[in-house]
Amino acid sequence: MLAALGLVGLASSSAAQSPPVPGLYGEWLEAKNREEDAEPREFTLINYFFTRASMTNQVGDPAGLRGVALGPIGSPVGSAVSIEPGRSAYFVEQRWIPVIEYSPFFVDGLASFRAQFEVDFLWGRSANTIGQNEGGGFNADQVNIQTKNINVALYPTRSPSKLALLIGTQPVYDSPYDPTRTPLSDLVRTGYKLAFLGSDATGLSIFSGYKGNARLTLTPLGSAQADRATRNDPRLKYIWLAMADYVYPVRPNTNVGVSLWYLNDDTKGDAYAFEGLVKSGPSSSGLPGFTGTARFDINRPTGSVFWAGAHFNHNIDFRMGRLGASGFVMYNGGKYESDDPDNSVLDELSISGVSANLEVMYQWGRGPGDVLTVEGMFSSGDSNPGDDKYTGAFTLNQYGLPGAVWFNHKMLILFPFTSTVNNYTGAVTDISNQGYGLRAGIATAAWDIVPNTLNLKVGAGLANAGAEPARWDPTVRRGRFIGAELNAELRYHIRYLMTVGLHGGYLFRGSFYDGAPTVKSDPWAAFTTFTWYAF
Amino acid sequence: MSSSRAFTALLVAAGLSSAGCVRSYASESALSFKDLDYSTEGTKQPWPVHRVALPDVSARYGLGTALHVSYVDLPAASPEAKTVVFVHGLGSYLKFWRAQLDVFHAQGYRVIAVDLPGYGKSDKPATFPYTMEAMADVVHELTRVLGVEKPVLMGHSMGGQTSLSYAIRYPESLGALVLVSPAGFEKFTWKEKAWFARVMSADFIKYAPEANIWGSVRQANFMHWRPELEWLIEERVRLSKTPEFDAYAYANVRTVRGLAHNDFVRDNLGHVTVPTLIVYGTDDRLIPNPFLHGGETRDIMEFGASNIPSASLAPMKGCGHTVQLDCPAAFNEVALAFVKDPASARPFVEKAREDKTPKPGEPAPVPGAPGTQPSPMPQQQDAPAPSDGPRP
Repeated sequence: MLAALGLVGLASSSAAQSPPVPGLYGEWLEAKNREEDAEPREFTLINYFFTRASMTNQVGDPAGLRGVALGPIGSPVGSAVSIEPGRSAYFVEQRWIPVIEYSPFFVDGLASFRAQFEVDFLWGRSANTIGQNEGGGFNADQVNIQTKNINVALYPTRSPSKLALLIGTQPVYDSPYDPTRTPLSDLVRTGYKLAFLGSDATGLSIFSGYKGNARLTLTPLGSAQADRATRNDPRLKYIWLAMADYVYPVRPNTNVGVSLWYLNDDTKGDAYAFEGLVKSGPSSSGLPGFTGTARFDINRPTGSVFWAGAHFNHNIDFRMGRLGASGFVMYNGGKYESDDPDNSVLDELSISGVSANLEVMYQWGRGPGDVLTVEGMFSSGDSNPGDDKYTGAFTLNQYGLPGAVWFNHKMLILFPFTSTVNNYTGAVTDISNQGYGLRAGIATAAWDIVPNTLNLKVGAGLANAGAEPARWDPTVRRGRFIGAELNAELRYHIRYLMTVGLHGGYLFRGSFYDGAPTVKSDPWAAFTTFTWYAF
Repeated sequence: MSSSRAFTALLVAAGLSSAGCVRSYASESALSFKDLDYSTEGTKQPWPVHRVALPDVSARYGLGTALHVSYVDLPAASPEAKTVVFVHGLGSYLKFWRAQLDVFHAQGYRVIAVDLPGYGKSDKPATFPYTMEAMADVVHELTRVLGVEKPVLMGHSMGGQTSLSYAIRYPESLGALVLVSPAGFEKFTWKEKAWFARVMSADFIKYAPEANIWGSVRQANFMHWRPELEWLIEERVRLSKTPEFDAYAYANVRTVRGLAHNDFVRDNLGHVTVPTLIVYGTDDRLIPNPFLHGGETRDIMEFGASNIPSASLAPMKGCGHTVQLDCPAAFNEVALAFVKDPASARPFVEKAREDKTPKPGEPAPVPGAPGTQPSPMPQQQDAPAPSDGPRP
């Protein structure tokens, strides 16, 4: 109702007149005539277009992934982002993601079809490609158009907010809300902030909004013929993830949620995580370098992991006042056993870790951008990720590239930045912090210099490892302090959902990098962004 | 304090500080529009609610049956007293003047508050045009039927634009104007208007969840929320369950179309001849439109004030869009002073014009001579700034 007040300010004059209608028909017409109501659309196209021009002293361009930089700063394997003192790179990246939705009128609200693609450019070369898909500057032929999602949503009650069945390749977040009908900004704040799961997968999800919000999801994350060579067994073994989430609104704009997820992996480490580039699971030797997870020395593992968590959010859109908060607690446990114990360092691997987050926000001014935030993130650490007991956070980055990027943190270098095309780099790219655990604190202050138009934000954050990390250099003691970041962002909203930004961050590296062969200077980055959601 | 205790304390503080123990009305019974509680805030003394048919408007706009509107009429203390007619905004009803009706009545004025067609207890015909001109015609006919010759019109938001349309077309039937966070000053392109029409639907209004209603009522309209305002939420949530809400939702859709119809008011501000006071909250979150334009409310209101001859401007520091409920004491003080003596209001003068001060050697203007500024309203100078008050 009063949301329509946002539309005030329009002028008018006398209306078009209709002839008087005598009798009952006039009365009926006055009650039922709805010809000016906005009509639903059969076809919807939403375009996400993003451009980023960067200047940075970080080096990130692995041999396998052209134009893509993934992974924690200093990682000796995988994407291996190193810091080159006295030198800086500059480049321009672009991304276009069209989302097509088709809901034919003749199905009368029973179903919708969706397709989502992704095209990435890096000016002068291709981007987000593997292998030999080099090229894309001169001639500009892009061969790396990706299919992100193809799915069908069924609405048995013809009310998408009440019941929806999503079948096919779909976004899978750690939020309980239907990702096809929920803004991304809500998805990353009302669950576990993408700290555990935020990617795409094929499967089935059911979303219900009858009493609170509930979700059931079953997705096979990968498969392999694990025993084809050794036992002449043609059967596919699967990695599958089942998720149950429920959120209850205890008060308007105050929600409490619980989750129970279960992952089962029978692939013995033979399934691939990213287009055949690296294998997935706890035995993967390539994935941890890209995603910043712990590396485990277990051959041909089979096993399962479960997550049990709770989260809350209160007034995060400031509808009830000036103070908002959100947070979560998550426990992950499980066990893997080696199918090849004779050749495996670890016969089995037990998992038990906990993570927690709390963010408090205060809207000090009139505008939506006049906000102060304080946030803390904790994950338990493991001082010896090489033994058979892992006591850190276990995220879906163990199975994806990336599978979980906590990007709602307002940092630029300490953690991966949200507005990115091909770079998910940061000092900590997974909340497990390579198994060593994380204690992070972040504070930001933002000001709508011109309300709803020009916004300035400054931020500071620091992070510590929870456990003593393995030394880079045996002769140099390595500390827990990862670093402290200072950053600033200036954003100008050109039009609704069209924004340009100027961003800069500097990380004062800590003792975590003492002795590191690839981090010999403080990382910094400055970049511009242009974002447009066109629909 | 241990870390676990600090964590618990933070959670409790977050839960209690800003929203307090707000309750949900989603499971409450349906509330019919006719059962809306129109009464004095403290004593719950019911206001006299009347209904009247408007045959001229019905005929002019070709309605199949006679349009009936509801209104509250509080008699004046004396026959000579002025009449103040209160006109509500989009998505609201006459109760949005709850902090004004008794106050103005206590000052001796005759007080009339109208539910516009589609809103409150008035009829909600789908075929009514819902343009601001048609709305103004309703107000005009109502005042004529009630025997009011030169009312002071007080219009909020859409009611402000309605009042402006009235003032431009019926100047002889008007005493003065009080525009409260008025619509009609902001410029929208035809493409922006077309977008409004495309996205505005009855379903969007009908199926808004309670959490969003808090956003559209409290967040969008208020900077100084108080628990005693929670009726705004309760009534909106419960009204959505009544079968009549369907017609109301569609009336909103058509009203937005009506608002978007053309720029008649904006293009004819110069034809407003009566003394006009423009009151607005400096922290208005709805004007200018936050999605399309952004910027400062002050710029929009100064445009209006600079185009209406002899208009005066009264910014309410730190107040939101529904300034009459957000900062009622300060608003009433300013509005009462103006209604009492509209001629004493200090006209708004643009900075560019202000800079044209007499150069040395030129004769100084004579106080009180035509073209000079009257003395400022004393009550404006002494009024407490609402921003000094407690914030939610």
